[in-house]
Amino acid sequence: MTEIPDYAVRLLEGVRFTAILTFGGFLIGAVLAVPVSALRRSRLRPLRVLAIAYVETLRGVPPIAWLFLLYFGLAQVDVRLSPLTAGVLGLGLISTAYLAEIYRAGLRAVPLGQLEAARAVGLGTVATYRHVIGPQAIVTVVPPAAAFLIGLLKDSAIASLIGVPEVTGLALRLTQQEFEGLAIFAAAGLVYIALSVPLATFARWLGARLTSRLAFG
Amino acid sequence: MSTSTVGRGDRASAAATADALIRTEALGVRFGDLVALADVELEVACGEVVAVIGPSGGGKSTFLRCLNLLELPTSGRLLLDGEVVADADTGRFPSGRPLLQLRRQVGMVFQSFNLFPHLTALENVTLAQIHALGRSNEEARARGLELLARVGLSDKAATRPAHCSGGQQQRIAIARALALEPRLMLFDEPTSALDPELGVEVLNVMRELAREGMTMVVVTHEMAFAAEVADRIVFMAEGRVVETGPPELLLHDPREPRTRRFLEAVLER
Repeated sequence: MTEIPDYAVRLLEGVRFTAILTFGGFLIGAVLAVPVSALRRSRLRPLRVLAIAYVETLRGVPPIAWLFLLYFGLAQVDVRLSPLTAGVLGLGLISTAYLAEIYRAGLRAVPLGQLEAARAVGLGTVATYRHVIGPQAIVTVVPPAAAFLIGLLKDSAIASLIGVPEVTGLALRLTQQEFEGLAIFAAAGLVYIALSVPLATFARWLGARLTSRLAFG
Repeated sequence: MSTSTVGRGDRASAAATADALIRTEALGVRFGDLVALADVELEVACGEVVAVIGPSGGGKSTFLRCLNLLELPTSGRLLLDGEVVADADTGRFPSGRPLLQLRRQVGMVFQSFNLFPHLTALENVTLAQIHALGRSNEEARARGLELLARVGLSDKAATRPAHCSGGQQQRIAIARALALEPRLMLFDEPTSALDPELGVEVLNVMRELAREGMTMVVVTHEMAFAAEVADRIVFMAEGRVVETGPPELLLHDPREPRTRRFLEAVLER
């Protein structure tokens, strides 16, 4: 039996940071995207424009540039974030933009008649979205949101460039010590696959469950 | 017109002299250059059943949707119990609480049912009781079961709309609207999406409601139903009220050529 090489064990230490970056960023995005997508549907044009400007600004700049801005840029005005904080925050803001668009598509997929029926029975806006529109929109939202989450898992690797010791960052460091580039990066790749496959499986299960709960057709 | 009408007609004309439950004054809706509704003056007395008939695109649905402000009029006023609730001429529309109050007093049934597909029949009927009226779950449930029984669907309480027939879905929708104990019920072509056999179930429920004294405004193409149940028929075309009268007069001896033309076309089919 061959011994598990030391670097493989050390790569696993990076999983914690990859997970914090991915889920932390996704969580921030999932929460902040709610008000952004609400603004996007506002009756007031200036609010809609504001939401569009927010989304386009965040999506229009490379993610790595946002991380540099938060980590190096803010330090210049004496706001010193740790690499991990800057990473989570940056990925969170970017996620907000993408998830707001995903939410918007989900809300648009709910027929207008549902909104009218909710209004006609005297439900307020919050109750309407919470009990009528939301539960139907989520069926459309889950698959693209899950795809985005898995994308984010891999994109979290850019945080290595501001010094977060997540899986890719660690792999890079280890190669410089061990000169085993091929094996180490292959191992890092396996770690990402091992993380993303359960996510994809869970998303498929959740999607199917929600669809059947709605009992369309 | 206090000519000798019989049955419900008498009661309605007597009620009409009392306070109107709902009234529109010079109500109009424009979509850009298109005039969907113009100068509609109508009042509906407590307990009265008004059927609105007329060609498609004639403004019937738009008018009905103005009565609970799903559609906002662009001119004229809407009054409930003699009080102005919306005044398009001054741009005064209710929002927030007063708007919800109005909608809780006015139930609506849609042509396409619009049931909440993720909820069971019973949940469809209890949702607004809990979240709009603030009733407890038990109270809403008891009332919901009562209403489902009333529309003949006790056995469907735990069923989702997708597993119900069109006629059953529309009856659930009626129960959902009744759950708020509205003072006025609006029906927007409630049987148009149903085949005739299923339509009958829905019409029977509506007939029963009318008999119990519910105030109703019904947009419909079912002439026989209108003739039988309505106290008054309103004929609308090209966004205007062309003629109003008791069924026996309006359906058999209309004054206006436009009404006659419509009725001839309908009866020829």
